[in-house]
Amino acid sequence: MNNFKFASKLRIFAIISFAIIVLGMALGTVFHFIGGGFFGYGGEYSGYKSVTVSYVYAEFGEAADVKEICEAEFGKAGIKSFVSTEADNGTSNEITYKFSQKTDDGKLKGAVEGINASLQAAAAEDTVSQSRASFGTECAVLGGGQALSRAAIAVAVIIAVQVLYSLIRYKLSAMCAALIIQLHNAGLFAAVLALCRIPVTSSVMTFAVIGSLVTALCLTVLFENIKRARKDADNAKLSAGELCDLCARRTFKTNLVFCAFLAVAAILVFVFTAISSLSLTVILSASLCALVAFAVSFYGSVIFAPAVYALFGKLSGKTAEPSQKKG
Amino acid sequence: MGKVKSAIITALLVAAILTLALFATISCNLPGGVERYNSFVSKISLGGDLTGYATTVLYPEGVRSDADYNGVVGDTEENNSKKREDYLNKYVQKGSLWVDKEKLGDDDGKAFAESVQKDAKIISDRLSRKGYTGYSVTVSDGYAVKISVPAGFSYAVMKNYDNTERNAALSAIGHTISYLSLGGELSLRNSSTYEGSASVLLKIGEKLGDYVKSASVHSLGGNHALKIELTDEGLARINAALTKEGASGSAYIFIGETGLGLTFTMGTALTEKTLYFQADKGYSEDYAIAIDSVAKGQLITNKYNDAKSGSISSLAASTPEFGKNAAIWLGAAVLVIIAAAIIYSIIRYRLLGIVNSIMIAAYSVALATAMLLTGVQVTIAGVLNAILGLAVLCASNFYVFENVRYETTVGRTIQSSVKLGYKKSLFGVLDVHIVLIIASAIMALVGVGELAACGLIFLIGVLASYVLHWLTRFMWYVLSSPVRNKFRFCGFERKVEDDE
Repeated sequence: MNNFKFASKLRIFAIISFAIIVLGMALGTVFHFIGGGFFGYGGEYSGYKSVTVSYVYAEFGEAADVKEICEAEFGKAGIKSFVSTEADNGTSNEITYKFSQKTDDGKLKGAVEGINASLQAAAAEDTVSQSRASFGTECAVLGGGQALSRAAIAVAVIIAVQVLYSLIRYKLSAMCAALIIQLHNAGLFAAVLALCRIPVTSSVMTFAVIGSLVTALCLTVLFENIKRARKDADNAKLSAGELCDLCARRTFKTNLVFCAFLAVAAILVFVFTAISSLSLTVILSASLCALVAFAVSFYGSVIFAPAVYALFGKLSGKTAEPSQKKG
Repeated sequence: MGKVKSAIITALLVAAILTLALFATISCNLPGGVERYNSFVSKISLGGDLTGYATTVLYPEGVRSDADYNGVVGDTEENNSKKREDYLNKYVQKGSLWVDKEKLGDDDGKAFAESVQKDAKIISDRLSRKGYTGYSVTVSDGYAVKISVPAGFSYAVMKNYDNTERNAALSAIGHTISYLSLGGELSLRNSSTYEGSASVLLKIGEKLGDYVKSASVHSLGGNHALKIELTDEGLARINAALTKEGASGSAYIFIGETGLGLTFTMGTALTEKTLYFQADKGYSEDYAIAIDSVAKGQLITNKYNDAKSGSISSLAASTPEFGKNAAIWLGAAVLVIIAAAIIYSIIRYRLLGIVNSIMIAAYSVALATAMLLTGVQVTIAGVLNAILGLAVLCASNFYVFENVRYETTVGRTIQSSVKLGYKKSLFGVLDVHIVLIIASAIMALVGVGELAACGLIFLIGVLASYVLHWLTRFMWYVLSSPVRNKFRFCGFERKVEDDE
């Protein structure tokens, strides 16, 4: 990265970003009409199908015994739950298996009948088995739209804070660059989510906000470097593009380490929790979201931002043009 | 600074961090084996993704659960035959539920299902004002409302080391769900029990809800109260009712058929439009949300089991979706991340990396203590925000270290390099922290639920980061003072001949 010219690649970066955003928006719009949503919503927002198995300690001492029976029946029916939880209300216990909305009702009902028969047989000493499985459909009231609107408000607030702060501290060109980069990153993140059909869960909300915070941080570092570099007599003859390139190269490594550390940390958190749940499916969407959020933040604020800032630097005419090479 | 002074300051700081870290992380049984010391970390309130959710299903009148129905129908005792017969004739199966045929009506339950859906949305709106870090309201099989809210247990509670806290947490959730799912109008009645009571308002059909402008929680100095704002007309109409001739005893506020335990003295006129009723924080919140919602016309139309009794009896605490040991594994992940940051610091900056490592430890302990003191509910997202704060601290320090390294490469002494490095990065670091502090403060104030909790955690993290950034400078000076080769201490190389 010692000689990479960020500023001169504005067109290439803009075309890449524009293509991804347009493609994501187009696909999201198509899915909005034919697939039930702009994004692919996860179970907590789109609703889910469930099989709830109630059991009492008199018949089964261990949840594992009941789970074994249930999972064998689901296996026979050829269906797989995306998550299971156990609950205890003091008098009886419950195991709830959640399935995606696409799971076939017939297969689920068949599995429920099988589970009930197996529970009855397993509790053969009792005349009436109190343990029972039932099949239900959960329709989410707290829709994905509401969750996303909350994330959008938080991201908008962060963008507003940064834009205003950039205007006060680094003048108009930085403010314009900050606004464009933050909007670009938000758009790119949404487009990649729509494009990859990563199930939107509450973790998306978190990573959207963390992503915009990371962008704010990296942009502020870049602006401060440019401001300082402008005061340096050695840089007096550099063009806006060269100045931006110089500062982008100086901050590149620190920003890269910062973003990589965050991405690895987020994935590590999810990998460890996957070990706890013994399931990869529960962490897959969150891990992908983390990767997308940090990749987008890094691309937007470390690679694309110097080019955009250089453009506004040229427009404001504060540095000499045409460029005169140092040296 | 001399060797002795340097050693004393370092020892004091390290001892303080170690002591705090010990209290923060180690739980143990106290001598005698009866009482137990639970560490700070094990007492932090955890979100639903780490400790699970408290779940209940609200069945409207005329709807039975599969277990309930089969419990009656499957009972072959002779004396239960009539009830069994009634159930068989009265109910039809809808998914996992059994619904009264009368309730289904002519449209096969379409209108009934719509009313349950509408009620669920109102309950969801009311719960959203409670500030939970995550909750869900779903309509099960069209005719029952399933509510899940974070159990909010700490690790100690989850592991049954603190049953008092566990019962208190579940009781508070039961109260909340019970009151936020109350149906019916607001009324002012002449008895504490609904049966046989009458409205004290003078006009027939007059509703208390029409006279309430808003309800909220008022907190001051650790005390909490329900604050009800009446309209001008409301004050006049309530006073007319309270001071009517022969009025005595008390008037009680009800939602539907449930009394809230809030009373007025008959015969005494109200002097202010703003009324205060002192109560526990959670109770005040529940009453405020329920009253405000009803006053704004959000009426729940069906009567749900448990709701009118004032506490939910069938509350089940479920395991977290990430597994029973999610909190432990998350803790392990955080330790690995902290260890990685420390190892990277030491490899890259040698002894200077140790200074940064001390700051990482101080940050971790400070944040754990702050999480306990603020009572914020910590979720996986919250932990990621805390890690982001840690990354900001490390990035700020590394940014300065790199600036200092750059200055050493152009031949400056370590003293002037440090001075210049900090000078050059002063505003950059300050700007980053100011932007992040403002953003996180607004997130905490504007956001709700998990977002607000994340905002608060990040705000604490960024503040700690800035303080520790300057403490790093001080400790760098303290630790490096007795060292002869300061370039080696930092892992830096001077490009010209060393003149130190």
